[in-house]
Amino acid sequence: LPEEIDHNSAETITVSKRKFLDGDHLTLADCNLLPKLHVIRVAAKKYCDFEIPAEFTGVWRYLENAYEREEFKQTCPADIEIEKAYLGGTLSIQLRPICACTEKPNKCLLSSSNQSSSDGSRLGCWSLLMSEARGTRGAPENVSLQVSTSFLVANMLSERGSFMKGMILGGVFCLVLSLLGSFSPITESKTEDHHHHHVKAASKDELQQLSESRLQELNNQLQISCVIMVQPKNLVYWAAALDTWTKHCDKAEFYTSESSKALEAIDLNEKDDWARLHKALKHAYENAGDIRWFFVAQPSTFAIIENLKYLVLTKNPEQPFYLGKTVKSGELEYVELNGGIVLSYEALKRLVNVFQDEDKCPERQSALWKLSEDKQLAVCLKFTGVFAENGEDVHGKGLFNSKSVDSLISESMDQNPNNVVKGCCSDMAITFSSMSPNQMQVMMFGVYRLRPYGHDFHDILTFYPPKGSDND
Amino acid sequence: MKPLGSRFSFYVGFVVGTVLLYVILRPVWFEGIQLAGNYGKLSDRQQQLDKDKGIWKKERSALFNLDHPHHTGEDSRMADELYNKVRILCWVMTGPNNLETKARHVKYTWSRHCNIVIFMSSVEDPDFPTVGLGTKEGRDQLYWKTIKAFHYAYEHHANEADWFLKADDDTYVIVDNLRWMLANHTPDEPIYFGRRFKPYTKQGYMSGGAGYVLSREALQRFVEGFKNKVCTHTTSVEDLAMGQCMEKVGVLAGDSRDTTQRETFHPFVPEQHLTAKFPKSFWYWSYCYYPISEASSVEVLNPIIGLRYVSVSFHYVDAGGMYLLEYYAYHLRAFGYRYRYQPPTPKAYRLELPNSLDSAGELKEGTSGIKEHGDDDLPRPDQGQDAGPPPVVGKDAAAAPV
Repeated sequence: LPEEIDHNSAETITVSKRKFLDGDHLTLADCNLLPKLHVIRVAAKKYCDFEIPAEFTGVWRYLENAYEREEFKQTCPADIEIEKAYLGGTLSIQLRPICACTEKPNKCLLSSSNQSSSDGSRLGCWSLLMSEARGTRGAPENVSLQVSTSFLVANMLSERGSFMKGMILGGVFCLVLSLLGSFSPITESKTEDHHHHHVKAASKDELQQLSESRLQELNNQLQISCVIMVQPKNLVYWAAALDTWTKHCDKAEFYTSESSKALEAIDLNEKDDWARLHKALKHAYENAGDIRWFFVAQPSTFAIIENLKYLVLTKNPEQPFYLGKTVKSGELEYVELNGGIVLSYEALKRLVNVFQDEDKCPERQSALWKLSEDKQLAVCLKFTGVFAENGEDVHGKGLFNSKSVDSLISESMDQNPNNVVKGCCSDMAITFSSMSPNQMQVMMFGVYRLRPYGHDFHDILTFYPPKGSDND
Repeated sequence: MKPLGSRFSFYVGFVVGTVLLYVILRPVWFEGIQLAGNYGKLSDRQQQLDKDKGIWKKERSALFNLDHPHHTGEDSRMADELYNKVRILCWVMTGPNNLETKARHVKYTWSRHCNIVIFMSSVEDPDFPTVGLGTKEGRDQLYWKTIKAFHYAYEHHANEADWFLKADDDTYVIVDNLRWMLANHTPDEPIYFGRRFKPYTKQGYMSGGAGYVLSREALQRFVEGFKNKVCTHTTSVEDLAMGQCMEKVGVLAGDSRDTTQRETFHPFVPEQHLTAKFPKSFWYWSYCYYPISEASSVEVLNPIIGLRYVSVSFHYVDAGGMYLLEYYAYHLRAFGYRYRYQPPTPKAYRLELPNSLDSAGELKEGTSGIKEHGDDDLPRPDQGQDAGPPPVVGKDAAAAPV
């Protein structure tokens, strides 16, 4: 401003020494202008082939100064986002890129892909503060924006009326929700009720109707290849799994993130969870031999392989099966790795095929959008037309458990104190998870040794204990 | 900035209000749920009392099991046979403070497999129900309670059971396996079984915590021993005192091991027997009556090797542990699994059933009924019955068992 120039010196200054519009610090005015400049730079270049001319040194210097500020740089959306937002040449309100002038970088990521994610991002709330013209473009206030909360407080106090109204409404809202009962202090974002696909074992009648030869046939394809994902940090669990339930797999392979001197495993040399699973499944498929069923587990999972065989006994492995404890996360229904994942040969074959498609099923997920490996598996399988199905017993109880048996019993003691055992877990349960090594030894004993005399089941098939084992 | 500020502070106020009320509501909400839960519990109790009527017949402070618990789809003919022939009265040592925390869990788990169960306490409780023995509570009262409890059982139920089991409220007993073990004996033998300990007595005594069981004859001699002052209250160490009295009245301390010489009554929980590494100096090793056999010499260093095949009892089992053991023993199983150890059918019962079931696994020399997987790794389909040799036809049923 003329008076300021006069104030500073007597020289005629043609170039501003200040970094930003009103001094060396970002002010509200900059918050207003900078996003627009940035957008022009990116979108106009893409669509109108227009670049801010190099002669506008002042503008460029201004922009450069802004890019040096973390709060600006970190909160600008990626160029591709801006380009997509202005794709139609018009602004769509949701995707308007906004930069926020806050001390802390604000994760104002915008959801522009159609990848399903229930924790889809929303506009940063701060962006409301800085959103564009509703025609309000007041004089740049000399308010320091380093601490924008103080600005907020100031604003609130000056708008006491609306604030109180908001607070009261918020309280009422909270009350209503809790009364509806759907409000829980421990909200789970996953709903576990809607299982569209259930899979049960064949009933005793069905089994008895099978001919001897058919039974023999089914028996021959009833081998399970166990894929256990270990890491040296889980050594005790790894050792326990090795010593207990994995002895009942027809084939058990341990895949580790890095080699360990203590135990043998196939070293994938891979830290990333999904990439490891990707490699392990590929390896398992390529070395399947005659085996037609695959079971993926973590070392703290305990699996009763005989009950798994019972579940898949009459299922055709040339059909795609993807079984386990299913959980719904937004639009995606996936099998929890914790409870063990069962894949038929066909499902694995399709999976390995889609591995070759880097778009649908990349080996390395983008750093921005990391899904847990079990969700990623579900996404990949979905592309091949394979959907998750929940394994249940004849009473509808889940066979795959993502909790330990001790904690399930505890829960049952709280919820059905008069019928603890029946209310807890299935008689033909296949997996329990988060089992400590000691709990695994006890379960080994409990399943394969502890039984009351005089109760027999005459199951249609017989599975023999593995050779050379001494704890079953 | 006026309209913006107004709207914005509205949003902020909304958020603040929600959060505030959530924080306030949470403890209140929980309390409310608890209150509601309490009301629920009262009606639950009534429901439970009604439901209990279907499980037990309550008579004279004892619970008579109406029904031997069954699974759908199981063939429990052998277990039923033994249930009817080897009648066991279980009495559980408990106290008024332990009714809801310990005795209750016993009531709903393993005691349902007894023919009769009686909860012995110092104070009578008609609802639970417990018998009031008229003693005080405490470790020093243990033998008094035991004496009075056995006297009570003898006076009221001597003819309704063949065997009389004493257990603590933290003991878990697999009653079906107890019946298997007792089936080769008769209630007229003066004998008692349990986890045999060595010290302080000639023939050894049975660990109190792991449970012990007296034949009817042994019980009679016990009661008479007190009448004749042959036995008195010598010490409050209940199991030792019991052992001393049994010796005096000529009751034999039996061998409760299975056919592979493995113990069946256990003084600790499975986890400890399976994973704990007891040092050589641990008292347990010097108390065990039976010589450390080849298999279990390794037990000193690694208890896993000395694993049990037939388990009758465990001690120091907490509430959750009761349900867990019940789940493992009577519910969770591996489909089609051919157990390594096939307990041989008790001699007197071999002919009771039309065809030889799985339980008639023949003893192979050296392996004592342990079946191992053959050379081929594929499971072989087995249409039900085990192909054991047919039972020898003979007048075995009436023969006096050993």
